[in-house]
Amino acid sequence: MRLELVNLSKKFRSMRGEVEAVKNISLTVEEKEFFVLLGPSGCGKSTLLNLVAGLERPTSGEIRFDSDLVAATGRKIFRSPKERNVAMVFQNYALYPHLKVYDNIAFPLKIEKWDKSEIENAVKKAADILGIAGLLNDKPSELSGGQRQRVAIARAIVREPNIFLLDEPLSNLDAQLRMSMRTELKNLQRRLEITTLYVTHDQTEAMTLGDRVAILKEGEIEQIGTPLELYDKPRNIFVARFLGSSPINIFDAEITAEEDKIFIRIAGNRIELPHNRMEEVRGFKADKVIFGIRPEDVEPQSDAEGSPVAGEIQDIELLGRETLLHISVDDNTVRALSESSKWEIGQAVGIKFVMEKAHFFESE
Amino acid sequence: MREEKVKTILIAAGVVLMLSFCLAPFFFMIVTSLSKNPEFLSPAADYQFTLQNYSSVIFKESLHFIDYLRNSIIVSGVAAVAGVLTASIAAFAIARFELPGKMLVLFFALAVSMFPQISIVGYLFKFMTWMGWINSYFALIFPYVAWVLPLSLWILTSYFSQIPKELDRAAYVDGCSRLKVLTRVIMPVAMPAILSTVLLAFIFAFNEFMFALILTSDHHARTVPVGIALFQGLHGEIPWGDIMAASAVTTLPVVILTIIFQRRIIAGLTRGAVKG
Amino acid sequence: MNRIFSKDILRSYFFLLPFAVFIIAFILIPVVGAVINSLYKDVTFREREFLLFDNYISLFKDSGFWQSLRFSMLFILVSVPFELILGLIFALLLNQIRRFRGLIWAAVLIPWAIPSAISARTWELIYNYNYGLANYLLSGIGITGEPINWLGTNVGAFISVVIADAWKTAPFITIILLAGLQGIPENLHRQSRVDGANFLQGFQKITLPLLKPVIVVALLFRTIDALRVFDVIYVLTGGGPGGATTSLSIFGYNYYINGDFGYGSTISVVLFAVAFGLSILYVKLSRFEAGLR
Repeated sequence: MRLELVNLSKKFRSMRGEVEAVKNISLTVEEKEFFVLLGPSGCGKSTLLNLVAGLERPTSGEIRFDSDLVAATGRKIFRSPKERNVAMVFQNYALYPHLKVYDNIAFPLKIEKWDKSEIENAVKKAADILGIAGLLNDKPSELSGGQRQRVAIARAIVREPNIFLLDEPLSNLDAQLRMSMRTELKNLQRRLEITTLYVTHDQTEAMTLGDRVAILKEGEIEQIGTPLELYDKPRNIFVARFLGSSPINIFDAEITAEEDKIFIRIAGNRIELPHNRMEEVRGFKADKVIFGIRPEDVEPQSDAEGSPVAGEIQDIELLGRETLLHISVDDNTVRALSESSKWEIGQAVGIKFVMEKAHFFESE
Repeated sequence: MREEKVKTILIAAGVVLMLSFCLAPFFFMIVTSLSKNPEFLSPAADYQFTLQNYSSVIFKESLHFIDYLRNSIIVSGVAAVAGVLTASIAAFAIARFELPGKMLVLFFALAVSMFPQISIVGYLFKFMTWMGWINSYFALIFPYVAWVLPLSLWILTSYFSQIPKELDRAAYVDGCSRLKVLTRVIMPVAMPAILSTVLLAFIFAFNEFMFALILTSDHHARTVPVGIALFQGLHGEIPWGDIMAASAVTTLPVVILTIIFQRRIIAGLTRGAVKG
Repeated sequence: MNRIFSKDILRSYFFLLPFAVFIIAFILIPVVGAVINSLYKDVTFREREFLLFDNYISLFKDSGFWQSLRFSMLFILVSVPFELILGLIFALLLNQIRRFRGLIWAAVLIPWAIPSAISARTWELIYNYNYGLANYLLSGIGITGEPINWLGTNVGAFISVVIADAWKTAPFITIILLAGLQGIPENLHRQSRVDGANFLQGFQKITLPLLKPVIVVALLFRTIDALRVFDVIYVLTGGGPGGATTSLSIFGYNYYINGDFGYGSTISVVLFAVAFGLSILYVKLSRFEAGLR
């Protein structure tokens, strides 16, 4: 099933006036794709999911499942969740507390009035896939968080939905469980080949799970792309900052051209730009730009003298295999990832930026 | 340390006094009901134990006590169940839907629950007479449903609002209509709360006096409170033994229910009455 | 607002329909009916006659009305504060209890759960001149030499009714106040003790002010309830002796029972107007919506 959103908007009326949670969003989720909506809380990603599920009516716009219109404000079409045959998994699992695990999984089929034997087969199959066949007679309150989420997922897949919607499904799990469930979810989605829309605020989840990721901010899409595209070619500072386990370094910078070379001034230091980045920078309207570089593209050097930029190590964070250094350069702090751990606080170091991987953004 | 001790003693004394005040009439009722002579406190009489009063209220058909009890249980039971069901549907809408003016409905219900019964009962009597329902169960059941609705609505709205909204969303996605969300998810999840609301509504209806006094005329529909209030002896003398035995038989189940469901009753009452 | 949305809202209101039907048919229409009836001379077996406000004019000239209004006011002024103090004491005691908590709480609830008409019958026996518990206990302690004629004298009947009503309603106030008490954070009490306040000061400076909103609500609720008092008086005194304990509800009932629906309605409309005004006040003061969020 291919999912298409066209100029979709949703406004909420509240005591304080109107809030536009989703602003004119268009996007397409391809058949069998694992698509992630990533953004901070309040960015409208959950509202978008509710719109696709049919739990909310759009204020304007269209939603298409393949060629079927399931919501179109212009033509006054609105299909209920039931008619859309979507399945949803929630952050707090939303298991029916009064029903046993078996009846929880069977619930959507009972509502659809399936035969008893058919229900039994389908429930058994879903339970086997999720590895919870032994829990069918338990009440949700007797299960651990991970088990509950498995039940919720089993309930979602049991009737072979058109689209699989997940709303922060791993957020309530502890870190270790979250990691293993992540892998499992990905494998499950590959195996079942169900088009999936996944909402999260966790960039690691988005990067590891998504075939493609859309980054949302205040109801608008900032960028859509594969995780690598977003990481390597962020369109703006928001996207650049949102991705990456150690936050990207961002500095105000100034471009100066001398003869056929281009230099960039960062905090009083002058760095020459490599040839392959010159075209990009020449396109900017103003001389002032914003310069971003990820910590892994900053190379600290133990001899301070020979490097273009010099600083002093202020703080050291051991991350395991790597070490994150906080290096003060004049009034700024530069974060650098190093594979060696031979650093000391107070040590004078040089800094080399890998300019091929630097990002330039127009300043506002 | 001394102060603590004094405080403990004062509290204990206070509790004893409080319990005596609350329970004395109830015990006096039981004691009198078991006495051959209700005048046992006067100097001229003495106390003789007997079960005679109980056998007479239970087996003497001319007293109609069992009729009253049956009427009360049927009328209050039906009204409580019907009232709570009706209130559940309304409470679901108020707790869950985007309804302009829904707070107004709640406030209005609250105001309605404070209407003096006397301002309702005159017209009800005419209406029930016109319907031919006077002295029938219908004459009481309908007004009782209306009478228990405001309280039930308040309690249930408060309980339903506490159920996570994700459950509804999950149910809608699982294919439920709104009515099914209510009957298949919300009501089963809130079942303990609903049952305790039924109990409260039952006690409310069971205690009702004025409607029953005016809208019924004899044992065909008369309820226990009215029956006991109007109990008369054959010869003008008040049959205290019978009255106390009948009172005891009526109140004992109520007392037992209260002891068992004390927590739920208190929770319900505080939800229904005050959120100050 | 687009049309799909408004149709949706309309469908949502259907859920309120059964509720509304019962309230309208069996409470609102009867109240409106009483208002209409109060404009008529409407006595059983006599011809109905439109009087406009004649009933109201007669009512205000009726010494019986003023007597029952005076009684009702006096009853509110005496019984409501009495019940409130009793309820407050009970609530403070219950809040201290650790052992047998469930049973003691249930015991305090029992008077509330027993139908008032039935308990009033027991009180009637307790107040019996010759062999009632009240006179037996009082003479036993030696407070009074002579037995008291509880139900036969004006003052005696008034006190009897107040006590029996307080017995019935104090538990309700207790529960409400107890909920308020338990909402007061324990560390506030501890703080006040650290600051050197004794029990009474702590009560005055912390408990009472924080309980005030709840007390106001309980007060109003009980005022309305006391205004419409009927069951206890009907059973205990029947409004006597000589009309001394005739509440407005009893006064109205006496006309209904004699077939005078016009005048009975007039009384109940006046009572309704007062009660409704108070209940609007009650709704405004109690900030109910807070509990739903």
